[in-house]
Amino acid sequence: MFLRFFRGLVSCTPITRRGRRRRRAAVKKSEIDIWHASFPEEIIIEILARLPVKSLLQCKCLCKYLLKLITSPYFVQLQLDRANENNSRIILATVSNKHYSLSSLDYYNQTSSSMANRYKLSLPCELLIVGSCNGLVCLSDYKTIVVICNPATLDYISVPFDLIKKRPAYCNQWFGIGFGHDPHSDKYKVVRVDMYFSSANTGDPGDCDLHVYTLGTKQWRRIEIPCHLAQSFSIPYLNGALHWLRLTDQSRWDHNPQITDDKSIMAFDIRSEKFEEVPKFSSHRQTNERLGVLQGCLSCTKYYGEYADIWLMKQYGVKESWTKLLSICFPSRRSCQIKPLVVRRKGEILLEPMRKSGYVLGRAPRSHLYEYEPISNSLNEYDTGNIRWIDVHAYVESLVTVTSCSCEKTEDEGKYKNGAT
Amino acid sequence: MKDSFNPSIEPPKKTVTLVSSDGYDFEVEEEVALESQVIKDGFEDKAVDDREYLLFNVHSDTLELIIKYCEKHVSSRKSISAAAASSSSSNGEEALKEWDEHFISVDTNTLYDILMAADYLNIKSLLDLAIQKVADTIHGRSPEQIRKKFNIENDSIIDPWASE
Repeated sequence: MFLRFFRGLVSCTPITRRGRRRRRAAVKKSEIDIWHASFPEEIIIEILARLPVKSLLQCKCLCKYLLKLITSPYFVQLQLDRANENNSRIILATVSNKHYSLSSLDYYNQTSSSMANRYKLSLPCELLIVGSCNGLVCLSDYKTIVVICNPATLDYISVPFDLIKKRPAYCNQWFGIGFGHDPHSDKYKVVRVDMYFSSANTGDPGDCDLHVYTLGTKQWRRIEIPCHLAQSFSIPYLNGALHWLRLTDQSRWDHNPQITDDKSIMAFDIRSEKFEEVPKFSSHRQTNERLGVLQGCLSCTKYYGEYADIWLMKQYGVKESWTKLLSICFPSRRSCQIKPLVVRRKGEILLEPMRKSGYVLGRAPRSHLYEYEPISNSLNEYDTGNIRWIDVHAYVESLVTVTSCSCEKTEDEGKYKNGAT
Repeated sequence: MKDSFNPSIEPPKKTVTLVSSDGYDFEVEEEVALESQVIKDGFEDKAVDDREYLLFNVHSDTLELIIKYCEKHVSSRKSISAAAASSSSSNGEEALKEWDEHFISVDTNTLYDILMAADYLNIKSLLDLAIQKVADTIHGRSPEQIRKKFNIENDSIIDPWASE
């Protein structure tokens, strides 16, 4: 439309012939209020979309116009989409002097940790990172509470576990937690797997419950599980679903390694709350393995000996698209227990060294990650500098608010409850 | 001596006249003017002797800068592709990036004029450059500094970040 307008101007205006050169008018450019009067909105949006979240939060306070623009759902989504392009930011659950907080690092642009974003959010206790989705981070102590926050905007809510079933005295119990988003209804959900199994080696197959908490509804709902799911503390979220390895019928939860099904991965669809099977590549050796998300693909890391193989499902749901990305040799058998986090331009991969016994709180904080360089096939320590951290996860900074998505639905829930009673 | 160095044999360069909002004529080479998508779009429909464009929204000061930018980009694109054809190594793209950086380092008002003109003429690379420059200017400044720099009036909302 703009174009037509311009062309119209060009062709319709009678052009006076040469000799139009006249004295330059001494036009004094008036002071310009760039934001309001002069810039077209699409240019302002384009400028804002290139700013980091911290700057956007400041711009939000400059005037009402910018506040409205930056908090609009359209802009929040645009910012998120832009941030997701080539994202290689990680979030770290940090500790210093018994003060628990969060910091993020951009692996893409930064080589030193001095540029870390230290968030002013303070966590109530030592928490591990369950997962992160659209800039929201889900954390838990794996005992009593789940916390969902946006560290960049300081939004925060906590959800108690609300354990109904008392664990029998002779049983071991642990939890697996996942956090995901249903883009259709724009709802965020926390999924918790409670597992109980006999501490004595009696061959008891154990018991397993799955509960779903939709943000804003204030209740956990129980969902049936169709098969045995493999032990997993933080459950990877991708493509609207959470993913577990599936156990064979013979396997028990306290087996190590657990015997996992070779053919399929179980995907729990956040929207429909149903399990679906996703094909898996067949490997001949039964080893420890772990699911994750890397480069926007479902990843499976297999550990044997001093090696860790990272596989990617390049095309979601297509068995043939499983590709071995690389095989890394570690100096010792123990150190090969890594979790791939994010990839940088030339294919360098940031890896988290795993703790031997998984998710246990109260361990000494760590200060380095691994960086794998594919060109020279070398593995180096990646120092996080003066940041001492407990847990780490891939992350993207966004303006998505936890409170808005939970408040809105609390009202809906209220209506529903009133109607029901 | 090569023929191309002889001005009498070289075909006359086709030119286009751009007229600024304050009435100045700028005669530029066709390919330079075609950097603007808006000029390019209607170009073939126009008669050869009528290739004159009135740019109502672009002041001569700004137009001069815009033409400088387009000329530089046309010429360095040529030298980059020539270097690529002769497979000689060249840091043309790096140099151009540096030139861009220097070009866009202007005061806020000029930056604003360039941005608006690039939008009006639809010169994507220049628009991109100017938008990035504005974003860089905002990034890392306090709200007060941004307000001052861009002359934004505080229409009295509570400012929780003001202390930062």
